[in-house]
Amino acid sequence: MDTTQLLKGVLDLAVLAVVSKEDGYGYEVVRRLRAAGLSEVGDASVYGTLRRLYAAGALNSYVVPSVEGPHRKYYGINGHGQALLKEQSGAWTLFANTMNGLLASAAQPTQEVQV
Amino acid sequence: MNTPILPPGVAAYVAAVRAHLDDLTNDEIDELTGGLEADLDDALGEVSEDGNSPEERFGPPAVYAAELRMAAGLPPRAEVRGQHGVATLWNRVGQVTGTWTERVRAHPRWPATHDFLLTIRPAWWVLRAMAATIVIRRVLFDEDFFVFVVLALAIVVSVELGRRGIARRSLVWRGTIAAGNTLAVLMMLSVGPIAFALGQEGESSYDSVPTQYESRSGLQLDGAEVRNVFPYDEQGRPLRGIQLYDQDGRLLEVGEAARESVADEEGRTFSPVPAVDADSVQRWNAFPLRRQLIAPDPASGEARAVPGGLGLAILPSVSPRPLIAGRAAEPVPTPASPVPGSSLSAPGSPTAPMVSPTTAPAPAPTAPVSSLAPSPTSSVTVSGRS
Repeated sequence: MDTTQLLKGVLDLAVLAVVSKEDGYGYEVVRRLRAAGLSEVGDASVYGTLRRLYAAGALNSYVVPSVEGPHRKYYGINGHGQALLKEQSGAWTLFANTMNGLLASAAQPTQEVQV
Repeated sequence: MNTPILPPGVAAYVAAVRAHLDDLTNDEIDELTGGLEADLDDALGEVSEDGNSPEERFGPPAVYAAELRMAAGLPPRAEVRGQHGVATLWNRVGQVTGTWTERVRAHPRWPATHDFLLTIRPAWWVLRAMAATIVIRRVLFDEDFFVFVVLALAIVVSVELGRRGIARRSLVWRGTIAAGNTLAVLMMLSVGPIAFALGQEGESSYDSVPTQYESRSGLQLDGAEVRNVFPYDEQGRPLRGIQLYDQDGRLLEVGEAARESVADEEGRTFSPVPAVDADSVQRWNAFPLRRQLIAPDPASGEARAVPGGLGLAILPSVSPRPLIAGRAAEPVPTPASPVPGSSLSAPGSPTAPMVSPTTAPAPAPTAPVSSLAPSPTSSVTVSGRS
């Protein structure tokens, strides 16, 4: 199964979750997502998502200048983002439970069908 | 602006990504690509089997830009947002040239070339300002002092246009600047970059533009316009009514510029008057040219010839010594020669003898404006013979 398609629907949630722990700049967020197991996440998708969440007012943003390299743009979660994270987490949990239940029942077809 | 040390190609890659977002507003582009250099730089800092160039790691800039904008919830590039006809046309042109530029950007030498071009970009800004100055100078005025002022202003404007990336701001700006840049390049090609850099365009460009030749034709000495010719005989006496021809029988005429009015040191304006030959043809090769006083009409204020203001040109303050060698030379009698006693052998045959214009007084010491004919020896030669 193509996990990139699944990822599209939950990338907002994943990014919010990662940023809620600690502020991070673009590639750092990518790194954390990959470290958490979302290895197929695309760099540009994450950057775009960060920008969109920022534009939606769910994230704060600030630039940290660097002496040696280009400046980094950091993102951090704000109140609106926290609320969004909570709401989307709930939706995801519900959805995931539903899916799990569905799949569990599919695994033992003969017994469940009688009910 | 700090200039961070970036691995080769990162700046170029980001620029290419931005180029694929250029249908968005400047704010949107900045929002999307802000800090992107740092992110790419970081990603490239990690060893990967994909390779180390931005293209190898992140894919073609077009795909990257598309992913970026889609994730950010912005419409894809093909989807035009409320654009008018010119913009649609512009986009279509962009699509055609885009394929070509992508091919160039994919070339392995592109990052180095791009870095080099970025380095010499300020020189282009200054060159562009020079081209603009030439245009302004030709269209508006010809005062050297103002040319420097305009050049200074043009350099500031041009550099600021380049530095602030105004070209990216909107379609109208982009179109205007593209058109202006094309003009500037054409201007530089036509004038020649070296003459241009040395500030010699005033002279050299006229030479390179054939249509300007007319105004530079006629008698010249060391590049300066000859306004009149004063012949003297072998005794050093001034001559009048002399027709001049070159070795091929062409008229040795004063140029167009020398036929215009000039002011003397007292502020009076004189217009040179040509002789008229027997065929009623104006002759600008008959010397010395006489001159007509010009003054504003008291009633209308328009400049017009002052009646009785026709006179001889003032002789230059020279006193030619009598010729010794000239006397020794045997004059070649030429039947067609219009001036008896001339020691020149006429190469062509001047067709018509000279006559005075009907309104002109006889060129004698009794000329109405006698003060204009100061030479006491002016009666030694004749003109207006028929």
